[in-house]
Amino acid sequence: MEDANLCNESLFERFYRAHVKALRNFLLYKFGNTEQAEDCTQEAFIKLWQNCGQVTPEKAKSFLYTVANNLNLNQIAHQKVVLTYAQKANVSSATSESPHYIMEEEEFKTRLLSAIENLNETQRVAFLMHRIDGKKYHEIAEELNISVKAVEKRIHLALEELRKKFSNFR
Amino acid sequence: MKEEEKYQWAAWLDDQVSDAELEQLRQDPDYAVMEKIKSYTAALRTPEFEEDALLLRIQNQQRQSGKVRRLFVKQTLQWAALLLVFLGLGLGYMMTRTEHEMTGSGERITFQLPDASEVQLHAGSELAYKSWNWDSNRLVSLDGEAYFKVAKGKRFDVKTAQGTVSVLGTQFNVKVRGNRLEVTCFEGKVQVATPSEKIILTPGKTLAYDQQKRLFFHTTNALQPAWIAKELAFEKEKPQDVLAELERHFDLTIKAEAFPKNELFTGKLPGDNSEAALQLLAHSYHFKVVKINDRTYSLDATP
Repeated sequence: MEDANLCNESLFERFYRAHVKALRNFLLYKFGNTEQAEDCTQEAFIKLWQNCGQVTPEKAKSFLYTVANNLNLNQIAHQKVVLTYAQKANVSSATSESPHYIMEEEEFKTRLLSAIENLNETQRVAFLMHRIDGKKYHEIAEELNISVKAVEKRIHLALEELRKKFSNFR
Repeated sequence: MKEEEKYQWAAWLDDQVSDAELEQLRQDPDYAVMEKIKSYTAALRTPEFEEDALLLRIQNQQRQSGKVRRLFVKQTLQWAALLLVFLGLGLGYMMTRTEHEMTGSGERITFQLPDASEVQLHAGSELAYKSWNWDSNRLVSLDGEAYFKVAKGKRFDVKTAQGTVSVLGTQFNVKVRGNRLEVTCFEGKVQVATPSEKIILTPGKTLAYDQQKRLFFHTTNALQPAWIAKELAFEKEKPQDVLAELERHFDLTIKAEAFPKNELFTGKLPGDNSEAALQLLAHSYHFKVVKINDRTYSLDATP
């Protein structure tokens, strides 16, 4: 059963396609820099390939995230706006929303984005893994190698921070 | 009384709250804000990236290191091949040397030795012999019980842990279990050699040793061993050994902790009916048979 590991090129490609997007996103949330996120993604997969004989397919994902979690960068330019909002397919009818309302919402969205980028790294990463990649808490826990409770706490703290920026209680 | 922190908003974000909990959260003055945060963040996207280009760069790395890898593989394979050849030679040599025949519990096999001598091997037994140069050197090692029909020829020896049986064209049965050796001659002449003595058996004679001390030596009317005809015969056997024989012959597990250890058993039990055999044996010692499942029985004392 020799080729049942990722040293087989086509198996490796299949694994790559299944996980590269989520891994790149994860590194993007962590570093806030697209170039660095890609470089580190490449490095993580190369490391996996170099160890393909020692890592079983079941453990490969965990290996990948462990490598990614441990990549430390000298903090180079943390880009500002890395995230964007998807364009809404249904353009709201003009009657229900006044230009004033639309402008207010746009301002809210901008401030929200800025607030997210200012979250501390652990909160930001967990929060975005949930919001953008749609990962469940137990999945996030696995990938970050922490407990589900710890994930919930980070999400909770992130929400608290964001709430503070917009709270009606000043 | 906060034992475990329940992160309500985290649960709410993941749609894991009950209706009651949701109602409670709605009362929060910032609920509208939280709702907006929830729906807008769900619409966030990361910038696109070139998946294929990245894969290509990774594969180029693979190709580079691949060359080095393949060189080593070739060398290793060559060494492995050489090793295999040596192993093969050695193995082949060894294999032409010793043959083995084995039976598990509940089994019985019949086979021929190189000179057409016939052997029937009873359950839980093992026999080995060297086929090379057989005619000049007819020697088998036996652990268990076998009935031999030896073709005429030079000496034929059956070596056991308890003694060696030598014959000249005969039919005889050898049973060696634990410290007990039992030999019966049915045709021709058989010599049984133990460290203390050498005895020759003529047809009808049966001889037994326990721990190399003579147990009995007398005549039987049987023309072949009882087990060949599906009967299990015992003479002055320890009850534990009788149970072990039944376990082996029928492939059963018999639990009998309280079973007597010293009252020797002499008698015949049916070899084709396990329940009848157990009943008969248990009855002799005032025990009863309890069936646990198809392969397991228990012998319990009757009050």
